[in-house]
Amino acid sequence: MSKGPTQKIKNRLNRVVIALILLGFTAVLVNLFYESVIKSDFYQTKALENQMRDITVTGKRGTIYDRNMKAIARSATVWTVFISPNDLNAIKDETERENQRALIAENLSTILEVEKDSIIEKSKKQNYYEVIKKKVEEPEADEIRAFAKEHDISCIHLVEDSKRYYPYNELASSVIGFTGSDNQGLYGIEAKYDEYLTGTPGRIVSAKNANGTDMPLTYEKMYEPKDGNSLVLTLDYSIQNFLEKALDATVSQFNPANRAAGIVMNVNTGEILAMSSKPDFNLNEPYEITDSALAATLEGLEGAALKEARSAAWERQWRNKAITELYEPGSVFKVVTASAALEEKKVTMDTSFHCTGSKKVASETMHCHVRSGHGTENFAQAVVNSCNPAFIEIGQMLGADLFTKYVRSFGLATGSKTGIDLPGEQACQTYSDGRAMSIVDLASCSFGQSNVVTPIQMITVMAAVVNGGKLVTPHVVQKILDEDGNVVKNVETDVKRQVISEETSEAMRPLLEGVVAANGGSNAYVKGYRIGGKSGTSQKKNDAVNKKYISSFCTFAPVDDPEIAVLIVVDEPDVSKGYYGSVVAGPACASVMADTLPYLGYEPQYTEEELAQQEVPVGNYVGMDILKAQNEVTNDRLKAVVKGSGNTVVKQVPARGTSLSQQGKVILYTEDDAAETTVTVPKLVGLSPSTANTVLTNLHLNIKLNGGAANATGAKVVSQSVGEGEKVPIGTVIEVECRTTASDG
Amino acid sequence: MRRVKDRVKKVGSMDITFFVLVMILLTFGLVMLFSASYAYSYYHYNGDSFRLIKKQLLFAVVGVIGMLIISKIDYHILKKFVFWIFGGSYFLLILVLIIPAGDENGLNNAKRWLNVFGITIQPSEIMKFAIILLFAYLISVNYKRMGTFVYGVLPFLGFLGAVAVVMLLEPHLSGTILIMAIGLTMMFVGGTKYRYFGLAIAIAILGVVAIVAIKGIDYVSVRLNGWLDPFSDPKDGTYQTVQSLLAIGSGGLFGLGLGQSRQKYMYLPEPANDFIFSIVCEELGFIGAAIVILLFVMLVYRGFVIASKAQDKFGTMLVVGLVVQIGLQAMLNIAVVSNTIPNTGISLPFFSYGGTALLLQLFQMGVVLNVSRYCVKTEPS
Repeated sequence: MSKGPTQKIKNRLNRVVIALILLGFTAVLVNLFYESVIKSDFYQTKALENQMRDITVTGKRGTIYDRNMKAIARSATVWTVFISPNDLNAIKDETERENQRALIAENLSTILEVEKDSIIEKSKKQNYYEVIKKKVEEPEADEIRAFAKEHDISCIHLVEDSKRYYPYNELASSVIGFTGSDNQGLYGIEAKYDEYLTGTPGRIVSAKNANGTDMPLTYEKMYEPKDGNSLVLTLDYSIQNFLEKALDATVSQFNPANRAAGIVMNVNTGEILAMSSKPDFNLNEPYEITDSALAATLEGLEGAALKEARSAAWERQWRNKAITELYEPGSVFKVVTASAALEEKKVTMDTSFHCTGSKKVASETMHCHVRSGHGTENFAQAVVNSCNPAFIEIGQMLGADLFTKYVRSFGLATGSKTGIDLPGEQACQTYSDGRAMSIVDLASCSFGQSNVVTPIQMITVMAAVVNGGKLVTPHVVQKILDEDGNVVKNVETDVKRQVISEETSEAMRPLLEGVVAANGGSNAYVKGYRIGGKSGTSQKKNDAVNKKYISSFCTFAPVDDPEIAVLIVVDEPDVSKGYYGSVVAGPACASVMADTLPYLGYEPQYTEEELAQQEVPVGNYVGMDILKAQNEVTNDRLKAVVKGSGNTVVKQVPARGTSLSQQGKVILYTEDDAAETTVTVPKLVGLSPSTANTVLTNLHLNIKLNGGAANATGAKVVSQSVGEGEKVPIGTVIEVECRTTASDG
Repeated sequence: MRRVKDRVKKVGSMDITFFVLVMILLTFGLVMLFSASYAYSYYHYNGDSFRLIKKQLLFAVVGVIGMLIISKIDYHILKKFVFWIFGGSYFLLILVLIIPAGDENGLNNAKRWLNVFGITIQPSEIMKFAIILLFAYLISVNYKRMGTFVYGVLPFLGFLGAVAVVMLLEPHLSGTILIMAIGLTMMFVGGTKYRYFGLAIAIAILGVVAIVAIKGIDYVSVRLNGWLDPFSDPKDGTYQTVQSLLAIGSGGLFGLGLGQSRQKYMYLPEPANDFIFSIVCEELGFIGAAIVILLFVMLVYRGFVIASKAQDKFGTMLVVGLVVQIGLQAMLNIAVVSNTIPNTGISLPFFSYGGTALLLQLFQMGVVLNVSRYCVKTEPS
């Protein structure tokens, strides 16, 4: 018998044992298949949740352009500087490690202006990501890169971020708004269009070990962020500047307690060409209190009081007055009453009214702003006179129901907004339901009291009155562009409804031109252009003791085919400097129109009278024979005054190129070394323009009349370019500013 | 004289198939160990990702050389040292209870390790070999009486019981189970009657009852629940199992690719030890895992071929014991990793990190190869 295994052994081994082992392995294999293949998705998701860390990367915020693609708000690259303590602490040699720690702390502290101790503390932590400073600008970032390269330091890292810049600082600040520390829109367009501007954030997905730090064998996937869309505004950089210049001048002259607001709008499309609240703030430094008096007050505060006062001060300077503050438009509102009455054929141009200076309604006596009364006047004259008793009568002709129907139709029903694409628009409060109106209410409403609206609503109403009767939706964004510049969205003109007929609108335009051009021109008049409009002065109801007014003027041009409207609202001007709308707001309207109309390509069309007054340039007469020179001066439509007995002109005043009114005087000196003849400038302020002219002409001085009301009856000189008592050479041009100070209700 | 001549005449070359299978498994194991230990070493040894693989590689080289030398040493010499080896191993098992060393991390509370001149060894590993040797000897000597209770059951049960008692004191449940399983398999192959295995099953059931009685029903139910639904409490006891399943599931059919495991980054505890197979699954997928299992099955099968052709019953039983040990250990390890059975600490032969264990495995394979040199060329009729 063999010593080897018996058949029984072999059978038990090769049949039973092997079968059991195969069975065991098969069971394991089946379970393995179930866990690894069948339940793979389940485990995979779980595992990824465990292992992956997401870092959100924001896309670059879109640019905000004006209508001519001038960038008003743009994002620039800044950097987040962080260190990786674990990499630093991995240096084995202790001296070397501590030397490098000190070097890093020292340099980063200097470059970034961060506490050195805090850097050292952070560098001792156990992780791979410790932020040293955010929003680090390019020059500092470069310095850090150079430093790290020079000393061969690998634990300092820079990650891209972005920061918002506003290249024009204060320009349209209350409209544009600004962003917060995470580039989120906080105010204005930045807030309203935040979701467009922000873009789609990307992600960096990276595998982390169970300690939460990056794995050394990196698994990293970047989902590129999508840059934000850009906005093309309806605002025009130049017109915005014209408006802000005019508002700044108004604010410095009338020092309003409650800021001033201005809007320039395309009456046909509702596009806002310019919008401003003054004083405003610097978009790059929104938290800086611009009002120095207010800033001084804040200096003295602490704790909660400081916080509250500071918030109020911020709110005050950031708020877009043109859309968020309600005011009583006063006589400007008369365009509603007048156009409603014309539309309803309750009046014609010739309907006659009689004003005695006041009118009794129920038991109340309501005064006209001209206490002596306007006497007998027709409808057109009543509009020009802004006559309150006449408008009370017109209101009564309409009746409360019809009147409020038009209030509603012009978009002024209580609670209504224009729907402009800016945040924070306030809803107006008006009598918009005839049943709720007493006869006294109707009376005060018809000449512009009792109803409060926002400036944007008032200019929108004016646009509808003059554009053919269409109520448009004002808007500031024209187009939305994607990151490649393709148009994502085009904002079309939105006409809400036809409020008055084309004919009524057509009738209203010359009527309102009459207001601006009345008596030879108001303060809002610009020579060479046909401008219509209406001024308004309202007394703030809340205070009868200290008189506080809101002065406004709303104009439009050109009268024959209106394109733009300008509204200036000055809230609580310094009463000692003036408070009538035409006095306070009129010149600003004129200034904006005078700049904007030529900019938009409108050539001035002078009347014959204006042509006669047109200035002519002074030629060069020096070196000419005296007779020839005199001839030339006459040919240039000027008058020569010869001083001395020489034969040749050696000197002339004014200099060549100066503009003089026609028949202005040119002094020709014919003798060498002859001293210039001088005269003392008299007081001109308070004189009428024509008297001032006579006075100066007699002194051989030239006059230059400024102001839309220079030719108006009752206009007065309000300032002169050379002060009373100063000595000037004869022939010098003295500029005088003329204004009417007529009341306007 | 004739016996010596016969023996010399019958010494042939070793079984190349078995040798190649061992080398493939070893190489595969080392590659996977490198991948699995890379991150672990990086974090635990100050950025030295090669720390573990370098040590294991050294043991592998020594082990292969040892294996080849042992394959040349006549296995019959072992017969003379059977009781010495068993006695020595038993002494070490008692010694480990008296002067235990901490494991590599000094963390485990169990007294399983001995420190011998700076090298840690597990006496239970040596005992496995000692039991195999002893049982092979007993079976070969008492083969004709294996059917009886006195010769076929009692001595084996006595030795197993004696070993189990000291090993459970460490405590080392998984090692005990493994030794029991190897011993029972050898008894079965050696000819112990079926009816006694019925008795063994009864004893096993009694054992389970005893465990429940000692540890309490709550402990068992918690462990059982942790096994059936490892996600029920992943923070605690089943954390390893959960992380292992996440690795296996992440691998899917084809795996994430060699070296691409993510679970090895501090998620899976001991990715280089007991749970290295999870990393195999994660990186090489079900396909890779199936190949590893197939290699182990082939190794076992080839071992059984050698056993069937061995020159004598001692050789047969020795090989059976040795390959069954490898096969059972692999099966139980993979079963744990895939949550087929509850978690116990069993390493994967040729794959798991552990120098002395690898040395022993390779030396034992050397014994199998030596037996293969004495195989008869043809089946005796």
